[in-house]
Amino acid sequence: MAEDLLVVDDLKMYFYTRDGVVKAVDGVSYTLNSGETLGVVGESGSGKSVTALTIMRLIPEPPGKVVGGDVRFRGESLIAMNDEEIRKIRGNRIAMVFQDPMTSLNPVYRIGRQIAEPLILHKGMSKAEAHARAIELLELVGIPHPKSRVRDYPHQLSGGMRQRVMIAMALANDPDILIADEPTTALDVTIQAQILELMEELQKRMGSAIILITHDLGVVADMADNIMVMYAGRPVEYGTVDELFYEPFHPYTWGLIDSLPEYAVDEKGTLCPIKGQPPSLINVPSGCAFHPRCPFAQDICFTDVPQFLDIKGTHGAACHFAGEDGFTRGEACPVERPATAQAAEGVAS
Amino acid sequence: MPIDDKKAVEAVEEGKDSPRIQHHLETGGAPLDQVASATSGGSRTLWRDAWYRLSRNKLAVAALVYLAIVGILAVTAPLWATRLFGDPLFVDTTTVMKTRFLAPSLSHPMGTDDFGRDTFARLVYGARISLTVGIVATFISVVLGLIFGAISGYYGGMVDSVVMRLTDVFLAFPYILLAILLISLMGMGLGPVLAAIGILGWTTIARVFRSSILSVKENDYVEAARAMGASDARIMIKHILPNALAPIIVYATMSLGGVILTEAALSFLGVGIQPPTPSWGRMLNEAQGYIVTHPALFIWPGIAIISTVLAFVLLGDGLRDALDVKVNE
Amino acid sequence: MLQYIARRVLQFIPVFLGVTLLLFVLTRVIPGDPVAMMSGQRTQSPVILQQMRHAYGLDLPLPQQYVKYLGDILRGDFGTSITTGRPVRDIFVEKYPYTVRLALAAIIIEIIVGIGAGVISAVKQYSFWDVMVTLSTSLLVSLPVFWLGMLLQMFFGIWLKQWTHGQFYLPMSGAGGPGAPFPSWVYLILPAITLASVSTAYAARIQRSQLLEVSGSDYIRTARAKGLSDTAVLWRHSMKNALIPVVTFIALDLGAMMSGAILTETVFNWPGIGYTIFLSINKRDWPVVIGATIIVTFVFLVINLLVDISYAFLDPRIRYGSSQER
Repeated sequence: MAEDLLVVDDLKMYFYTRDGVVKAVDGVSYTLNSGETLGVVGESGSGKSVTALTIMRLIPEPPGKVVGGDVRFRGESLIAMNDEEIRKIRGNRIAMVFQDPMTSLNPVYRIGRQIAEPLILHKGMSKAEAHARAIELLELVGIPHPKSRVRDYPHQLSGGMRQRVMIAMALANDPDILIADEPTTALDVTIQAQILELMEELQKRMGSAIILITHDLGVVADMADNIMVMYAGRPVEYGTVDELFYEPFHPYTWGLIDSLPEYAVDEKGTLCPIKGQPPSLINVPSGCAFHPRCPFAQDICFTDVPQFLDIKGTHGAACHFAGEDGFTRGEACPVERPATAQAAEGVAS
Repeated sequence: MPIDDKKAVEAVEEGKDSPRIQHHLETGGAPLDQVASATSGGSRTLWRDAWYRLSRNKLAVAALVYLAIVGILAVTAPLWATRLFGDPLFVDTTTVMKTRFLAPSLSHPMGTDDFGRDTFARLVYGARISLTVGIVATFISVVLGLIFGAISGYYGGMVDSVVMRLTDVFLAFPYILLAILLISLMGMGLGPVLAAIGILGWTTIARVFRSSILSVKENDYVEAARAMGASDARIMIKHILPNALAPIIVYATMSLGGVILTEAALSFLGVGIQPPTPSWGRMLNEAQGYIVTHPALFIWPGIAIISTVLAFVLLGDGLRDALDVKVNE
Repeated sequence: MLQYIARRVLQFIPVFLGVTLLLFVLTRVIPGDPVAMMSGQRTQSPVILQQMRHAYGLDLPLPQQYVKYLGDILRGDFGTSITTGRPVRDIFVEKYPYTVRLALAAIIIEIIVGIGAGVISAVKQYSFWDVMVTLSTSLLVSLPVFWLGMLLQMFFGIWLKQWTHGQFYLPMSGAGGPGAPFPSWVYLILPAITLASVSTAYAARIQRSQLLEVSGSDYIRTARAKGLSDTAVLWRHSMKNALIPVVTFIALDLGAMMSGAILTETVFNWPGIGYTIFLSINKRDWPVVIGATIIVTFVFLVINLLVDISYAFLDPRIRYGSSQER
């Protein structure tokens, strides 16, 4: 049995600000194995990015603070590590690709130098060796004429190319885990597909695990093995990609699926957005954080926080009614579906 | 109405509470602001919002209070100064040997100067000069700056280039030197000082206003207004000016401090305000000879200058934060 | 980039012409007959005055006078002092080195103290040091430079002498020279500190705000994510970006100082070009004033031009133009 590569165990990361405590990550748990792809899906402010940054220990300690839980990489706690130790992991065993390639590359250094940096730092390569390897990496990520491009500055590249450079930089030291935080959000749609394809291909080649963070379910549908849906800093559903798409348990997941143009099937072909706004993380709604926007909310949803429970094997959700008979997604938009058998009677009459 | 026209009308109506204000409201700010808006109900203008934020900035408020005090003292001085402290200008040669260089006392809170005149009264009169120069010269600079900035920004092209080269010419000279030259031409005294400083100060305001115009010129609501037949001047005044006002106010406040420093420098060098009118810079000039024996003479005017200029700087800082301005030059 | 440089150079020419034109207008607007002034107190016969006018080309129409004036400048002839009869050029060559020395000394202080304080202030934000730096820079910016000069004179020139009974003090006037009680460089200390003070405050503020802004950038986060230590991130990534505007500011400041710091030089009787110009204004020696001003302005414009061009080298975005596919 493969050793669990990465275990996130009930992680809680809060921000202490002048206006209150922001519970950005409030009890997230998941496991990642070698070669797997985990998709983490949620709206802005769901805590998906903060979780990843916490794993890398990139959250500044004031105002952020890990108030509970742990992250274990190959059995070793990343949270307990000191500065020196975690720096050895970053860019080396766990690497990250960020959302906006335009601003994530240093404008005053050539891209070759930026790719070479982690090589020199972690592998002790000489400048010449690192430079040569950088050219190889550029080729690997599909940048044409790598020998001349390696001397370019970031602003001389297009958005898609820059993101490839970011990927090359992240993969330079052959990391065990690649965390991609909204890698395609800032790119044109056509380029998005290319980048995702590239990541898939590289994963096959290098065997790394990927954590793919996005707000777009469509992006993970192809690539992910497992998916975790987050809302207001908490996990609301987790399962394999098939389980999630064919038999989702949580109303929020239904909403996400319904928001996808490909899936919103209804005679009129209208899209079904989830109404309302993501909640403030300082004043998280009582009970189930999703209840203000949930079409099926009952009294209990106002008062009790739903536990995250495994319902079918490892497919689990955090909803009071998850898994109950009749509490399924159905074919059309939420407003036409009854929550429980009781409500169904109400609607029918 | 076709879609575009409707949008255009909306845009124009929005113009009076311009998109920038809307954006400002949307980006919110601390929850306290939201409370303020909830309780005040109705429309929150940019100005009320800014005033609220300014009042929370303790340094800026302190600066404002200080300036108000100085201002009141300065304006009312003729009413009480002579009566309480003796004539700050006139030297009574019969008593001067006994009244010069007195230490601070009740009748002379800061002592007397080398001619027996009360230092405090002279400082207050000096404040009159400094504030007058500050306000009038800044006003001149702002007016000139607005005109040139408007011409440059709005018409662009060749006109813009010419005006920009003109600012370069003005900025090429050492500032003080040019001021001295101008004053030498016009003769010494308050008027020439006002004019010289005012004339030299237009460049930055012009640039700031010009960049505001440039950034706003292409906005939808300007297009809409033009489509509805508004004249250039009208567009400038009704739509562009309110937006551009904020950075100009901030800059003008801060440069007021600079103007006061310049006036002090000119008077110190002897080319500004002439004796016996007390200007702080002038007082420093007169104090030069007595550094060794009576340092108080040069400390007090210095403190007056520093505190007043600092007040303007802090106020300007506070305004910039309150109005949420990023002035890039 | 060549385009950028060419544009800048082209902009330089009209500006310099504008400067000469403005000064030319000033000379012709200054009240008083220049020729009568030149002959000083002695009254001359109208015939001689007329001859002088002709010799100086003052009877030509104005535009022609301007052209002649420009020609003189380009040949290096900046007129002759009324009071001393020496060519302005010679006076300039004699006095300017003092200004340059003062400017360089002040710049060194500005670089070390300004950048240093700014960096420390940003790195240890909100600490005691940061608060001190912020307060003192606000204060310095509100200070009249000449007052600071006088203050330093008082402390180090007079009081220190009194407290140490004449043993230890700093000179507060002049630049020393042969036979002076101190070596020449000692005379630089107080004036340089004075001149540097306000600029250093600005430099520190700019450095601080630039560094803070850069530190929040995405690429700094990327650098950290690569496993770089805080020091490496600061010096290799943050500073390289944050320094660009700071260096530009300091370089422009150098340009301003090389224009002759009238106030500082006057307070300390420092025999530089600024002091010279000031004295000449008092003596109504206009050829010296105008001539020296032109040279000094020219130097300033050249330095500005060099700064602009070097900016193109420092910032690769300008050096290699905007993004393009090849």
